[in-house]
Amino acid sequence: MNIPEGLNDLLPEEVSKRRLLENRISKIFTQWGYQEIITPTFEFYDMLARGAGSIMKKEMIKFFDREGNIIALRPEMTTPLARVTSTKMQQEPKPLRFYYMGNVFRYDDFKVGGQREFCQAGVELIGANNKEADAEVIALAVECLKNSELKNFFIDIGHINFFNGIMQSIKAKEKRKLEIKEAILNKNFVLLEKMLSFSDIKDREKELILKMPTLRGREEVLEGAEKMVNNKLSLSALKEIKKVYNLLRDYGLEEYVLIDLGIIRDFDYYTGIIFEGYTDYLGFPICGGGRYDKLCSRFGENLPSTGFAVGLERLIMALERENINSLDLKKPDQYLVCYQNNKDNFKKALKAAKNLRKKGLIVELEVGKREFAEVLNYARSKRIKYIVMVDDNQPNKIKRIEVTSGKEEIINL
Amino acid sequence: MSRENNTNYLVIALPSGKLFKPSIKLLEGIGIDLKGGKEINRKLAFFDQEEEIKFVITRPKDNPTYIECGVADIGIVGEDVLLEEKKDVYKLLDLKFGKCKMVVAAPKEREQKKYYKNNGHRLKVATKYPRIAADYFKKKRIYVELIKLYGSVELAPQVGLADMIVDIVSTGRTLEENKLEIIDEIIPLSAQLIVNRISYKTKHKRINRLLQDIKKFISLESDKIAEW
Repeated sequence: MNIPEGLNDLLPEEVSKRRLLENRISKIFTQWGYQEIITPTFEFYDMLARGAGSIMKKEMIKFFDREGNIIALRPEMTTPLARVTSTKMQQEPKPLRFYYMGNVFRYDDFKVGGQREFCQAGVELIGANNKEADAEVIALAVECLKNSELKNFFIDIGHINFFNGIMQSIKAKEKRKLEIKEAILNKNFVLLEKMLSFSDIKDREKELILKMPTLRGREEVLEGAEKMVNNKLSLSALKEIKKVYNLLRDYGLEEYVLIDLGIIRDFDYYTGIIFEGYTDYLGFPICGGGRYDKLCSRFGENLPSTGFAVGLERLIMALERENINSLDLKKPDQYLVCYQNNKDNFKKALKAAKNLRKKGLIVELEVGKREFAEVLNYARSKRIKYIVMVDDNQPNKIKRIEVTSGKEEIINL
Repeated sequence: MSRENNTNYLVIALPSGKLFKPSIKLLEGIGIDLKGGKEINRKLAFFDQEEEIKFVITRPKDNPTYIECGVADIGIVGEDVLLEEKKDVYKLLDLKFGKCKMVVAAPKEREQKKYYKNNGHRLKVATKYPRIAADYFKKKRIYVELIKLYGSVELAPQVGLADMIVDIVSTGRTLEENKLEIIDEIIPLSAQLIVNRISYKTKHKRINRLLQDIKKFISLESDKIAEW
């Protein structure tokens, strides 16, 4: 009676929280002009692999179809959306604004919890390569978290080329560079320090590489970093960050945004500004995204793009740690309609239920023909507010009993 | 324990087992009074109100898990665990104690050349570290069969469960007692300081101060520490 490892059933209370959050998020995406796209849950592995680095390729859940093609469950949503826009929407005026909300699948065996199915909501702004587009998507990430009613969070923005520029300017053998890069990706600074000490790299650059994860703050970080690098790629990355940061200031969002030159994201398709969202309540990022100008060209169209995704399970976890009630839905009152057993009363009960539902209330109809005491116990445990009793006594009137107090009143049908 | 209570505290996860005492010594060495660790050892979670530090004690293998998901900010852990578990945490400092090495060892009497006949074909290797062992043999292009054990690995060759073992060696006494000899050293190991990837950003000042204190202490006391 089991389900495969890493999967979960969502019980009613969890579903209602999830849907509440989905509604808050899709509302804000829609208001910013983003339209929803739904893509298949599984696709040809070859298509999904076009947007996946070597780690992600291993993490994909794959199987064969009847013809022997390799199929994979989507591990993220950006690649399918790049495929759709590049193959089916070439004629549409640009930029395109899309959002998605759907489950993705990975063998995340070594991650905490090891969840293999999780829900992502996100946007893609496709066919725009200016800083305003980067800023819009980051601003929308902030709005998305704010509207989900999370209070305590930061979005850190960085640039993929800050790191790339440093790596390019280092004078070392390719093999050594790859080792250095891998040590950084694995966050292994012990190994990194050893490797740097063996290689012929300037002290200033060594210091910079070792300091990278902590280069975080407001504008002063950029000024400090400008003095530490002298390669074109890193310098232009710093300039871009500054422009986007200033635009976000125009949005009035500086309290949520930090500059962070230590961000390195796992996906291989990023080409520019990248960002991640953090909260004190989680030890891992809550959302992330960035610019990917070359991904669509892997599907035949040259469309510079940017976007982000937020993990809904993570967001729910953060929201509940911040305020346990933050996803409690105010539901309309619940009613249970019972009737004394005969044909006329049944019809009268149906009418009563219909009328109450019309008012927007939640109405269950008793189907078990149970004794009143039993019905009362059931109503209590299900937090039903009122029991309605339909009997022969008065035509067009029904008896309403408040479950907690037992108070009775006669109301119109 | 959830992270919500921890925003003001620095949470340090200490491993139980043989790294526990040296970890306490290290922290006391940089001026955190832990009364020899007796108090913490009894409680599993221990607060130092003044320093705003909270300590938790974890099983050595679990330590990086606490750090990865952020219920603790800083951990001390054996490098063997890090190599085997591959957690997404910052590995910031080699603490220079708990020194040992990961080795391949086999019964003494056998002729060494024979082990890798046909590149290890049909060779059985017992280990607590299947990932490290697999990586090592893969790199060497030796095709062995790994047998995962949870302890007393050195017993496996004696009773015919395996031909050789991959395990940690510190003094070499256990190998000697079981008539095993080292045929290759895979990697030297020591205790490491790890940090949660978000904490390293959000609590950077406090973590960095601690890091600098520890670094200074290690360089001053390096001779002693190696003996811990």
